[in-house]
Amino acid sequence: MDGMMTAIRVIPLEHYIVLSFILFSIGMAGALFRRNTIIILMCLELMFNSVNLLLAAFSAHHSDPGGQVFVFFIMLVAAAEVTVGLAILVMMKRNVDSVDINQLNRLKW
Amino acid sequence: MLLIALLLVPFLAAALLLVARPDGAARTIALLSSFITAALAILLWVRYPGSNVTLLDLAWMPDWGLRFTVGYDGTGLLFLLLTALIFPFIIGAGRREGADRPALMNALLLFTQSALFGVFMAQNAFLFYIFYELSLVPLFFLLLFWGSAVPGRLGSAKAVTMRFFIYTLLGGLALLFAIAYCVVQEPTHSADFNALHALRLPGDVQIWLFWALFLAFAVKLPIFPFHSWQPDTYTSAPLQGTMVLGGVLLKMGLFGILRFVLPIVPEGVEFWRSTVVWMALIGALYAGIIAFRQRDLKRLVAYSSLSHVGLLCAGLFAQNTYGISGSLYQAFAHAVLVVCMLYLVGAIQRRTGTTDLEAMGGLKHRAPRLAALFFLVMLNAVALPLTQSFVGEWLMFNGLWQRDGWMAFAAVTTIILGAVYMLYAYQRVMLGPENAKLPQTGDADQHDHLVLVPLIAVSLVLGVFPAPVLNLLDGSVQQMLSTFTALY
Amino acid sequence: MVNLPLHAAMVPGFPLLGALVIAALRGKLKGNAAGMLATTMIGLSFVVSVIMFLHTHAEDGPQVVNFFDWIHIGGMDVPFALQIDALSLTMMLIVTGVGTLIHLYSIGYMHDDARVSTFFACLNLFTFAMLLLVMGANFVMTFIGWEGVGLCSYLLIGFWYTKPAYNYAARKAFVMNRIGDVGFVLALALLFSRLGTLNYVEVFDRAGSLSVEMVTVVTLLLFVGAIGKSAQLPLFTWLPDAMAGPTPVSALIHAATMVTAGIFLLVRSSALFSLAPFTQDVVLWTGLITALLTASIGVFQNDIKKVLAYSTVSQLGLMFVALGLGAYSAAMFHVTTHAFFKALLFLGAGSVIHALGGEQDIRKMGGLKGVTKITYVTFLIGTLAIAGIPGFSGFFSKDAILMAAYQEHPMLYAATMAVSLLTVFYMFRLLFLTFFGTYRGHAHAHESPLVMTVPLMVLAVLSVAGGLLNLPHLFGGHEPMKHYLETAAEGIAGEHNYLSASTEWILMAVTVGLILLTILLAYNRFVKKTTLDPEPEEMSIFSRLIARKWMVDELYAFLWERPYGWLSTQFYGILERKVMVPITLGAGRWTQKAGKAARMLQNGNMSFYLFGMVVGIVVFLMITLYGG
Repeated sequence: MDGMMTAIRVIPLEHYIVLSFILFSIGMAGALFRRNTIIILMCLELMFNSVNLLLAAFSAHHSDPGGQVFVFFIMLVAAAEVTVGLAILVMMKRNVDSVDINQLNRLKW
Repeated sequence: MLLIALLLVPFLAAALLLVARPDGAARTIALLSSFITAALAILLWVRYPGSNVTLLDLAWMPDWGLRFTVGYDGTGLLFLLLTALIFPFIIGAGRREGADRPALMNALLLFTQSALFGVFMAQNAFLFYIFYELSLVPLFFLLLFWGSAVPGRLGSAKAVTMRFFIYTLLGGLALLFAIAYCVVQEPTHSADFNALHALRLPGDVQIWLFWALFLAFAVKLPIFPFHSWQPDTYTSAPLQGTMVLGGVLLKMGLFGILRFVLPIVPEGVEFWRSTVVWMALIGALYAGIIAFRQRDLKRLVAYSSLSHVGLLCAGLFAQNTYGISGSLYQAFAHAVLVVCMLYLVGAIQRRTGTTDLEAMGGLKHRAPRLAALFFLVMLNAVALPLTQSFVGEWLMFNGLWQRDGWMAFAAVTTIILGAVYMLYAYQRVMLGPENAKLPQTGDADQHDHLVLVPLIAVSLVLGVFPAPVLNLLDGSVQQMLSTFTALY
Repeated sequence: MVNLPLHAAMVPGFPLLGALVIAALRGKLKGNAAGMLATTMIGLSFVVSVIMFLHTHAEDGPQVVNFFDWIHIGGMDVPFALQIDALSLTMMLIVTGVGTLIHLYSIGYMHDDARVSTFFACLNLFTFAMLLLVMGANFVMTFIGWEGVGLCSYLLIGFWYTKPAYNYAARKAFVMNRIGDVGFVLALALLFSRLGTLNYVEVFDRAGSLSVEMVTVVTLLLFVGAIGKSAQLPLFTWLPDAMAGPTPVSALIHAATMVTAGIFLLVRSSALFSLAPFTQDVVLWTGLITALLTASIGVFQNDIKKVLAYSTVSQLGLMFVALGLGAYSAAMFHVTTHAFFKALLFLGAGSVIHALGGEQDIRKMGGLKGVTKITYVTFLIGTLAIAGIPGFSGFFSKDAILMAAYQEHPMLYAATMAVSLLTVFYMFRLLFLTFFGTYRGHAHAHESPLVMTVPLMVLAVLSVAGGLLNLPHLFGGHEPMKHYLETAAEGIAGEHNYLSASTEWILMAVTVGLILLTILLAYNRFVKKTTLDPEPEEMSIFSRLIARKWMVDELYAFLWERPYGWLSTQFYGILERKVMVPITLGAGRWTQKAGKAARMLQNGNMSFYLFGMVVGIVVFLMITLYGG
C-alpha cells in the first residue's frame, strides 16, 4: 500500500489537478451538449471519476485517508445512480422509442 | 405549565376531532375544550403576580435566535383572556348555523385558537411570527370550505379567500424581513423581545424599518388604505369565521404593534405618528360613512368593525396611558361587540332568510325579544356610557387629545357616524309596519339567550365596573411607557 | 338624620329599580300594574328628595358622595359620585315632582296601549338618567345621564315604532343630540388635559388657572353640547319632530326636564362661563335668534303639540338669553316655572287629544270649554302663566329675564319683548281655537278621567303659585330661590341688579300693557271671526316661508342628509370598489405575474437546467474565492 502511495506521489500534484480538470470539463461539455442520454450518463461518470482521481491524489499527497474513503462513497453512490439512470433509460426507450434527452421535456408548466 | 396547557388543550382537541371526525359529538368536544381553556385562562389571571412573567424558555434553534420562550404580562394576559373567553361563544354560535362537516370546522377553529394563544404568549419574535402565520392556515381552509360568494368581480369564495391569504401573507413577509434584520443587528443574535426592545437602531434605519414592521399589522387590523380585503372577506366568510377574524384575529395586529412597532422603532414611531394616526382616523370616518348605505347587514357590520378598528389603532399610536389602555380596553369591548353583532346577523338571517336590509323590516312584531337583544347590543356599539365601549372610547379620546386636539375631534366625530348607521340598521331590520313577506318565525330562543345574554351582561358589567380590567392594564401600560421614555 | 349616601343613592335608585322590575316582568304585569309601580317608584324618590331638601344643609356648600371608582387609570380618576347641593336639589325636586305627576297622568293616558309596561319602564329609566345628570359630581357622571336621557328620548319618541316617520323622528333626535355630544366630550377631554380632574368642585376651584382663550374654547364646546340637548339653533329641528312620541313624554322629556339639561349644564359650570365673555355673547345671540325664529314659526302651526313644541324651543331660547346675560338665577327660575306651566299645557293638550280620540289639528277643534271643563280651566291657567299675566308664575320669571335684558341694552329688551308677545299671540290663538267658538270636528268629545285631571290641577296650582319661589324685592319678597342657588353656582353670586324701582315699575307696566293688547288682538282674530290659517300655498311668500318653518328642515336635508347619503354611496361605489379593492387585487395579480415570469425558466430542457446549475456553481465559486 505504501508503495502505491509513493508511486502516486512521484507525479506532482499539479498534473493530477490539470488532468482531472480536463476530464471534468470533457464530462461537463458532454453532459451539456450531447442529446443522447447514454452519453450523458457516461459523461456524468466521467465527472465523478475526475473528482475521484483528484480526491485520491490529494489523499496520497497529504497522507490523509479521508479522501480515499470519499472515493469509495462516490463510487457507491455513482453505481446506485447509474442503476436508476439506466432503468429510466430502458423505460424511456420502451415508451418513446428514443434515447434523446430532449424528448423528456413534458414535465414543465 | 398553565401556558403550555393553554396551547395544548385546543391543539389536542382539534387533532382528536380531525382524526376521529366524530361529527355528532364535535361541538360538544370543542365546547368542552374551550371551557377548559377559559378556566385555565381565568386561573392564569388569578395567579397573575402583577408584572412580567416568563414561564418557559427552551432552546429551539438558538443559532438563529429562535427560542421557545413563552410568558405574559398584563397586556398579554388581557389578550389571552379575551381569546379564551370569547371562543366558547364562537363555538357555541355554531350550533344554530348548522354547517356541514362540523368536526372539521370545529377542529379548524380550535387550531386557530391554539395559534392565537401562541401569539399572545410568545416572548420571542420568531416564535411570535411562526404562530402569527400559523393562525392563517386553519382560517384559510375555514374560509375556503364554508365561504360564500360575494357580489362583484372576483367574488367567489375561493377568490376572496386567496385575496385575503396572499395580502396578509405579503404583510407578514415584510415583518419576517424586519425581524431578521433586527436579529442580525442584535449583538447576541437573540430574537427575544427583551433583547430586541433594548436594541437602539440608528434613526434613519428606524424610519424605514417602521413600515416593514408596521405593514403586517396594518394589513391585519386593517388600517385604511390597506383594508380592502376586509369587507369582502368578512361578508364571504362563514359566520364563525368572521367572528374569529373580527373578534380575535385582528387583535393580533394591536398586540403586534404593542410588542414590535412601539418599542423597537421608537424614533420611527415618532416620525410617522401623525401619518399613521391620521390614516387610522380617516379610515374610521371613511368606514363609518360607508357603513350607512350598505344594503347587506353583514357588510355593514364589517364596515362598522373597520371604523372601530381605526379608532383602536389611533388610540394605540397616541402612545400615552389613556390612549394605550383605552385602545386595549376597547379591544376587549370590540371582541364582545363583534361576536354579538355577528350572532345577531346570523339570527336575523335564519328568521328572514336574507341579510339584505331593503328586504327586511318589522321583525320586532314577530321577535320582540330578539329586538330587545339587538337594542342592548346596539347600546354597546354606539358607546353609550355605562357600556364597555364607552370606557374604552373615553380613554382613547383623552389620549388623543393629549397628542392633538384635531385628532381628538376626528375621533369623537365617529360617535355621530356610529349612531347614524347603527340606528338606521336597527330601524331597517326591526322597526316599521309588520312585514307580511317575512316567513313565520319564532322569537329569540333559549340558545340565542345563552350566547347573547352573557356577552351583553359582560359589556354592561364592565361598563359600570371597569376596574378589574383597568387594574390589569394600568401596571403594564405604565411599565411599557416608562421603557419607551427610557428609549429616547 | 339624613344618611347622605343612602338617600342620595335612593333618589336615582328607585326609578332604576322600577325600570328593571317592569322590564323584567313586562309580560306578566296586567292593566295598570306597571303604571302604578312606576309612579310609586318615582313618588318615593320625590319623597326622598324632599327629605333631603329639608334636612341637608345645602346652603353650606356641595356635599359629594363617592360610591366607587369608576374609571381609574394612570392619572385619571373618575369616581362614580353624586353631588348634593342647592342646584342639584332644585333640579331633583323639579324632575321627581313634575315627573311623578306626569307618571300618574300617563296611567290614564296610556291605559289602552298594548305596550304600556314598556312605556313605563322607559319613563322610569329616563327619570333615572335625568337624576344622574343633575346629581352627578363630575362632568362624566353628568355625561352618563346626558346620553341616557338621549337614549330614553329615542325610545319614547319612537315608541309607536310601526310608523317609519316616528322612527325617523327618533333617529333624528338621537343623531342631533350626538352632534352636540361631540362638543361635550371634547370639552371634557380638553378640561381634563388642562386641569387633570373632572370633578365639579375641583374644576371650578382651579378654573382661574386657565387662560381666557382656553376657557372660551371649553365653554364654547360645552355650549355645543347644550345646543344639541336644549334644541337651540342650529340643532333645534329635532324637538318639534319629537312630538311623535306619546304626549306625556313630550311633557316630561321635551318640555319640563330633558331639554332644560343644557340650561342646567351652563348654570352648573357658571364658574367657567362667567370667565368667558365671548362665549356669553355667543350664548346670548344664539338664544335670542332661536327664540325669535321659533316663536314666529309657532304662530303658523296647526298641530296642537307642534305649537307647544316651538313654544318650548322659544322659551329655552329666552333662558339662554338670560344665561348669556349672566342672569343665572333668572334662567333657573324660568326653568322651574316653565317646567310647571309647560308640563301643564302639554298634559292639557294630551287631555284634549285624548278627549277627541287622537285628533291633534286645532283647525278641527273648537268649543271644547263646555265639554272638558277641568282641562279648559287648567289650560287657561297655563296659558296665562306662559303669557306672563301678573300674579302667575310666568310673569315673575319672564320679568326677571326682561329686566336683565333691559339692564344690558334697551334693544335687547325690545327683542325679548317681541318674543314674549309672539308667545302670547300663538298661545292665545291655540287657546281660542281649541276651546272657544264652535266645534269643527266629528269626534265625540268627553272629559278625561280623574287620574289625568288631578295632575292637571296640581300643576295649575303650581303654575299660579310658582312665582312665590323667587318673589322679587319689588313685591315684598326677597328672592329666596336666588339666594338658595347662590351657594351652588358661582355665577349667581356675581349677579347684581342696579335698576331703580321706578324703572322696573314702568317696564313692567309697558310689558303688561302690550301683553293685554296682544291678547285682545288674538281675541278679535280667533274668537270673533275664528280665522283659520289657509293652506301655505295661498299665503304671501313671507308667511309661507314661516309656515314652512323657515325651510330649515329642507335646508338641512339639502346641506347634510342628502350629501351624507351621496358621500356614503360614492365612497363605496367609487373609492372603495374602484380604487381600494383593486389594490388588494393587485397584490394577487402581481404575484401571478411574477409566477408567470418565473415559470418560463422551467422549459423542460435538461441541458438548460444543467447549464443553469453550472453557471450557478461557477458564480458561487467566484463569490467564495474573490468575494472578500
